Parts: sequence; structure tokens; C-alpha cells
Amino acid sequence: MSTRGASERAGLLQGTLDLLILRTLGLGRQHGQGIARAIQAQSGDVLLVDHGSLYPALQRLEARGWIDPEWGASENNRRARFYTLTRAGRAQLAAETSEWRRFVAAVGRVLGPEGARG
Amino acid sequence: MIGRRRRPAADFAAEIQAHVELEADRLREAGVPAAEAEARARKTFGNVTSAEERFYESGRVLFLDRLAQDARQALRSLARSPVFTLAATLSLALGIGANTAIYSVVDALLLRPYPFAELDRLVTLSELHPQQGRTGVRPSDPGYPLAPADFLDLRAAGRSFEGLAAFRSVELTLVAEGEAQRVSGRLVSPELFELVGVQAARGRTFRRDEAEAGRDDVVVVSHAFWRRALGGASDVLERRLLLNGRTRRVVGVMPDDFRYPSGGVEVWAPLVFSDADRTERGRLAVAVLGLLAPRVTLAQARDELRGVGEWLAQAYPRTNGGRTFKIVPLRQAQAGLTAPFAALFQTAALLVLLIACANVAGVLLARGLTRRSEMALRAALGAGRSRLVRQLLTESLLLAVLGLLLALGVASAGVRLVRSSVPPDIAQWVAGWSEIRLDGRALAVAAALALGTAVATGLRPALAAGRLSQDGAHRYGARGAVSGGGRKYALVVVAQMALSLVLLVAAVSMLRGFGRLSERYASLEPQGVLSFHLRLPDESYPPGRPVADFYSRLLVQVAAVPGVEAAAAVAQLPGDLGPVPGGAVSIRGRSAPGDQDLPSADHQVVTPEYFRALRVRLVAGRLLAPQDGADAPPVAVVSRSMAGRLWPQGDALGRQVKQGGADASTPWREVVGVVEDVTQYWFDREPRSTLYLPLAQAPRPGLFVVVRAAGDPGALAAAVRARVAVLDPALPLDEVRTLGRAVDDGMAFLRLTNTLLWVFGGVALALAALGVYGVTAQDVAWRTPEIGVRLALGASRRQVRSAVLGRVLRLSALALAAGVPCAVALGRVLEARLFGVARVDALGLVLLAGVIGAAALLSALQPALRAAAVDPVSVLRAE
Repeated sequence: MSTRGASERAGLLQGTLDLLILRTLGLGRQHGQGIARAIQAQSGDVLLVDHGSLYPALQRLEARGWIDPEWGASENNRRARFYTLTRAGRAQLAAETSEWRRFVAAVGRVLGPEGARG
Repeated sequence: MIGRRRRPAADFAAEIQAHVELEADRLREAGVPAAEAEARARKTFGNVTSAEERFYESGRVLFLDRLAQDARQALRSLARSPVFTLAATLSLALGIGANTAIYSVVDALLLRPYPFAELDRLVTLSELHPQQGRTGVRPSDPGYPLAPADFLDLRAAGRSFEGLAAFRSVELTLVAEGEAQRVSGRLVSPELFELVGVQAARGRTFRRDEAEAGRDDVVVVSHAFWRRALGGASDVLERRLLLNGRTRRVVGVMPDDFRYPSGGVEVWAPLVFSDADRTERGRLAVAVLGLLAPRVTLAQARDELRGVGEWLAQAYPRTNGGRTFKIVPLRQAQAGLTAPFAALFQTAALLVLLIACANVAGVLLARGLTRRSEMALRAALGAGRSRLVRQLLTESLLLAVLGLLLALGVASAGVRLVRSSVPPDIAQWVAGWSEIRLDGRALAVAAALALGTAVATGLRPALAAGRLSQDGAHRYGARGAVSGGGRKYALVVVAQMALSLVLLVAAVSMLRGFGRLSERYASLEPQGVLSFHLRLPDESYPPGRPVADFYSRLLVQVAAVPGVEAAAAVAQLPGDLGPVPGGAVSIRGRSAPGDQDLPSADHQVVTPEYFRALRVRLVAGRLLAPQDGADAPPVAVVSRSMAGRLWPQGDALGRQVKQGGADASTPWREVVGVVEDVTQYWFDREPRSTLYLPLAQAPRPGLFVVVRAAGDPGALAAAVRARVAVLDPALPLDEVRTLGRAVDDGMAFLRLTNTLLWVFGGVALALAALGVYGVTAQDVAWRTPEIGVRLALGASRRQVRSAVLGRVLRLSALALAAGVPCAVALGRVLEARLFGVARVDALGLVLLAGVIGAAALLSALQPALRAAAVDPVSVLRAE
């Protein structure tokens, strides 16, 4: 699936996985494997989701009431557990997105313009 | 996760399985061979087992696992220090248990004495009569019953009330199957049952028209009476009872818990007002219960009653002049007798709870100090602060649960003790007494307080350990660094000792007072007197001469029984808590008709032998004699206090007095003698004024008979009964007992208070001793290295020993310095509020202080010896 070494892939910053899951579900209901695939595809194969973290993260979001689980059939007719964003989850997504933007902008300012490096 | 159903692990496994399959599908679509696709899907997912484990950890299963682990660890830790565990558990058990028991009692007696729906709106009404002297014969009597006409006027005029009901007691004799038995009855307005909102368990209560003459041949019976006298018959509603020679139909059976106006009432009959009653304002007859109209306050009702009282006083100045109505919430109406005792019990129980909490706090704090090293070590080894907190919390909670279980036992034993300590014939007069039972709310409050203490103090070491691990400045074993806590628990011990001193002083005050009060009756030599009560039914003994004749014949018969020294009758037995008849007294030449401010006195009706039977000494003049008959000149004997109050010059003999106002229809009587005072009620602060009237000149149907025995009075009972039966087989004897027993029964509440105070005082002392032991033992353990160093540097073992004991002595001195003033202050309060309490004198205080000090020193002895036995070499090596 990829020839790049693990070192070239960006590790997920702690906490960003939750945001990415919420964002992915913001586009529509999805199951675990679909979420992992979507994150990987949309990040241009840069972000690889560690499945060992994915499911605990889903557990966590479910416990907080941000996503709702429901068993259903996938497009190729496999039984899968689908997740939907709840109203609270949508609010959380908005909050976390703007928080993330502020964070990125702040880090960017600290690092300075791209050209200034080295 | 809280509030949601936990997700089963199988569900999670299925989700992961689905993921792997979906991934394999995708790979196959991308052209990967089927066999390889499965393997690669599994590989990309990573470790399925590990994912499942993480799921498990995130669930509550782990929480339970840890809880079980913590509980096991806590149990081990508690088992390692049995003294600590015992001290803390017992403290909790006694503190919570005692409080639960006492508050259960207080709740039943004071807060909800009657199980009535509208208890807050129910009030009792009574009348105050200036010319009747001071109000309230018994402390629980709120005033005088209302005159029937006053009641009827009030019922017609009163706007503040939804309803008013009158009632009075009636002595009934039931004749069934040829045998007569005394039945306790009440004549009541039919509305009474509506006002209290209680319906009959079977049948019905009275209809309003059944209070009319001729329609009142109906009765409602108590549940107990139905079972006892009617054998619980199912056809009870068709039964007819022969009561006082009149046949009455049973129309209803009240519920088992219905005890109004008092416990022990067996039969209720309609109260009928005769035409004479409707204008009767002199004879005081009915007790009155009222239900306030909705949204009417007590103050509003009081205002209205004042208006009605003034109106009646203007309309009937001769009878109602100065007469006012008194209104008291039903809840408080009976609290007069019990409230001061209840307050004392509550205070004592609260003190015990405080001592218990202090004890728990003390031992937990002390233990926490010695465990600081353990905590710090565990923190250093990586145990999270929350983990330490949780473990200590578990330990405290475990202690609390153990204590609580024991407390349940203590509380139910306490409730049983209280219930059994007052004889049933006294207890039936105390509203709510039979409802005393373990109260869940009381338990919850006491438990919450004690558990809160346990948890708060138990957590301290963990929090301290957390701080230590945070600043990283801790070195394992650096004991010197944390010594400030020692002072705190020393203070706890000081507080405990001071509180136990206060309790002991209160207990001893009560005991001294109790002894002194019993002695008030010693001159009567009550152990040698048999007493019982007789009530001649009006039907067979018309009021007047037949009553007096019966009693004189009876007393001749009884006096003839071998072993009887003297037999007499008296209206109200000294020492018994029943009401003694009494009222105003007029003095010829001094009191004018219409005087409002007359002296009052008890009107004791006696037979001539009374003074000899009860050893009442003659002070001046002569005693009453058989020749003071109905046709002889009216005479009276007065008590020494009455003579002193009315004739301070000592010239009582020959004076003329009469019962009631100067214009009353009673005859003027010559005072022919003065006798020594007799204590009527143990709680009388000073001797009462007593006017003794000869029975022959003032006959009354209900009397106590007193029989002075040459030997054992109990042995006479059967013979005396037989003599009564010869004269009238249908006449029941009530309250057959020795006078000594009657006096004891009257003092039951006092005895109960005293017992409880001793129990509390003893418990407090034991707790304080445990506290001293615990704290000293921990202190010695804590200082072992220091002691080792001192010994190595040449201190003698005696010096070490006296250093430990000296510290305890200093703590005791501090405790006594704080406790003695408190105890003295409490003594004053008790003396003022509770009659019969004798303040502890200085010597007593010193002795009690000595007891506390000795208990403290004894508790510290073992730790002191252990300190002196420290081996310096091994201690220094351990450091």
C-alpha cells in the first residue's frame, strides 16, 4: 500500500486523532475501517491511523456522547458498526477545528516564514 | 461512560472482525490475491488481542478489579494493626449507634408524636384561670380543661378553626360473662376522628347525630381492646357491650396505631352535652382539640381566642372574669415533660458522636503520620497520587462500613433499652412512645457525619504523600521532616478528654440528684406500703354519702387483715405522676367575694388513718379523726408549707378556710391541725401547699387505698383483694403495687436519663482512653529512632519513660483546664433546666478529673514501657 518508510509518515499528535475522526464523520456516517481509510486517503497517505488507537478513540468519543454507534451493512454487504456524529459531536468538531487552526497559526508564527529556515 | 450501558466485549470483537474483513475486501478489489488479502488486512490492523485488551482496560471491569484489589489491600492493612482498627471501628459504632438511638427516640416523641396527616394544624386548647392559682398541675398539663359552655361558645364563634372537638376521660366498667373489668374510656365529640383524619379499621367512627342524647348508645373500640376483650371476633360490629350498666353497640374498631388522646384508651363513646352542660361555666370539664383552618397561623388563632375570651369575660363576669384561652400546637402539648430530657439526651449523644469523630480523626491522623514514609515510598516507586488516594479512601470506607454495621446493633440495642426502661403504665401517657423505633434518617445523618470524618482525615496522608512526590524533596525515612502533624492529633486527644470529663460530670450530677430525689420520699417509708386505685361507678354509688360509707366499710375490712398496720384512702398518691386535685383557697376575713388573686393549694381528700399509714408527722393541733363525719363541723388539716405561707405568724390553728372563691358554695372549714410536708411529685422545686379534707366531708368516688404492712406488703395483696370482693365483686382494683414501686415508676424518666448518661459517660471515657493509647503508641513508634539516639547518647530508660508519660500528663492537664470550666457551665445549665440535678462540688470535680487523668496515664503506660525498651543499636542500624 505504500513504499515509504515509517519514518517518513507523520505520527499523529496526541489528541488530533479525535479531531480527525470527528471531521471524517462530519462528512457522513462511517465504520472504523472506513474512517481509517478516509483519513489516510485525504491526508495523501501521510497520516496512517494506528488501528490500536482508532478503536479506543472511538470508544472515548462514544462515551462522551459525540458519536453514536449503530450496526449496519457496508456497501459490500458486510455487517459493520457505523458511527454518526451527534449534535454535541458537531459542536465539538467546530470548537476543535478552530482551536486547531489557532494552534497551527501560532506554531507557524513561531517557526517563521518558510524561507527563513536554515 | 456513567449512565450508559456497558458495551459487551463480544460486540467489540465483532467490530474488529468486521474491520479486518472490510480491509481484506478492499485489498481484494485492488487486485491482491484472496489468501494474501486476509493476512495483510490482519497485519495492517496490528495486534487484535492488544486492541481487545485496551478495550477491556477502558471499561469499568478494570475499575471493579482495582476496587477488589484495593479492598484486599485495605483489609490486609487493617488486619496488621488490630488496635487501630478496633479503636476506629468501635468509636464509629458507639458514636453513630448512640446518636441514632437517641434521635430515633426524640423523633418519635417530639417531632411526630402522633401519626396524623394535619399534625401541623392541630392544636390543643385550654383555659387559664387566675383564681385557680398557677396553671398546670402536671408539667405536661397545658392548662385547665374548658367549661362545656365555653367550648360550645368557642365552637360557634371561632373562625380560625376548621373544627373543634371536645373529649374527656371516663371510667368505665365492662361486665362480660359475669366478670367486671375496668376499661379506659374517652367521651369524644364525633368530629374528633375527622380532625385527626383517622378512619376506623373496621366499621366506622361516630356520626354527628350520635352526640345527641338518646342516640349515643354506640362505641368505637381500640384494636387492642378488640383483640383482648372481644377475642378479635370478626362479628365485632354486631357486639353489644354492657358498660357502666348501659348497653352500647360497637360500630367501629380503630387502627392498631391509633392512640389519641393517649395510649391505653380502649373505648371511645360520643360526648353528649346535656342542657345543664350548655350553661355550665364553673365546672371545668372537657379537653379540646382544634384543627386550624388552612392558612390560619397560630398567632391569628391566638388573637381570635383572646377576643372570644374577653367577650365571654364581659358576658359572664362571675365565672369568666380574667379567664383566657391558651392554644398550643398538638406537637408540643405533651412535650413539657419529655423535652428537657430529650434535650439532655441529644446533647449527651452529640458529645459522644463528637468524641467518636475525634477518635476516628485522631487514630487516622496518627496512623497517617506513621504511614507517610510508606506513602512517600510508594509515590517514589511510581504509584499515582490518585491510586494512593483511592487506596486510603478504600481503607477509610472499609472502616466506616464495619463501624456502621456495628452501629446498627448498638442503635437497636439502645432503642430497646430506652423503650424497656419506662413502665408501660407511665409510657402510655407519653405520645409517640410506642412509636419509638430505629429511625433510618437518624442513622443516615449520624453515619454521614462519622463517615465524612473518617474519609476527610483518612485522606490526609495520601494528599501529603502526593505533595511529597510532587516536589521530589522527600527522602524515604526522613522522619524529622514531618513532625508538625503531631500537635494536631494531640489537640484531638485533649478535646476528647475534655468532652468525656464534661459527660462524666453531667452523669454524676444526675446521679447525685437522683439519689437526693429518691430520699424525698424516704420519710414515707414507701417500701412498706401497698397501694391500689379504686373507682366507684356512679350508677351503683351515687355521689355523696354512699361513697364515703363504702370506703369506711372497706377500710375497716382491710385493716382487719392480719399483718395490716393501718389502711387509709387518699385522692392522689404521693410519688404517682397523676394529677392531684387542687385549686383556689379562700380565707375567712381575708378573701372577699370576686377576688381574682386567691392562694392555691392541693385539695387532698384523705381518711383519718392516712397520716399514720404514711408516717406523716403532726406538727401542731390534731389530726383528722373518725368523728369528723358528714354531720360534724367541717374541718381541715394543712401542710406545714401551706400554714407557713398563709399564716407566717404561726397562728394557723382555728382559722377558717374554704375551697374556691369566698362566695363559693363549699363550706367554711376550721383548720384543726398542721402536718409535715409530703412530696407530691419528685420534680416539685419546693413543698406544695396541701389542704387535707376528711373523706366523710368531701366524698369522691376515685381514691387510692394505702395499706401499711407490718411485714412484706406484697404478701397482703391477695387478702386485700378478697376483702374488696366481699363488699363488691364487680369492683376492679387498679395499679396494685407498693408505694415504693409507684415512686420508682414516677421517676422512670429520671432513671432513664441517668442510665443513659452513665452509658455515654463510660463510652466517652473508654473512647478517650483508646484515643490516648492510640496516639501515644503511634507517637512512640514514630519517635523510635529519636529515642534510640537519646538512649545511645546516654539517656536512662527511666528518663525515656517519664518523657512519654510526661507528655500525656501535659495533655491531660490541658484537657482538664479546658474541660472543667465547660463541665461547671453545663452543671449550671442542667441545674436550671432539669429539676433534680445536683451540681457536682469541687471535690467531685477533682475526683472526676483524677479519673480522666488516671485513665490517660494507664492508657499511655504500655507505649511508655515499649519506648523504654527500645534497643538503640538495632534502631541506629535501621536508620
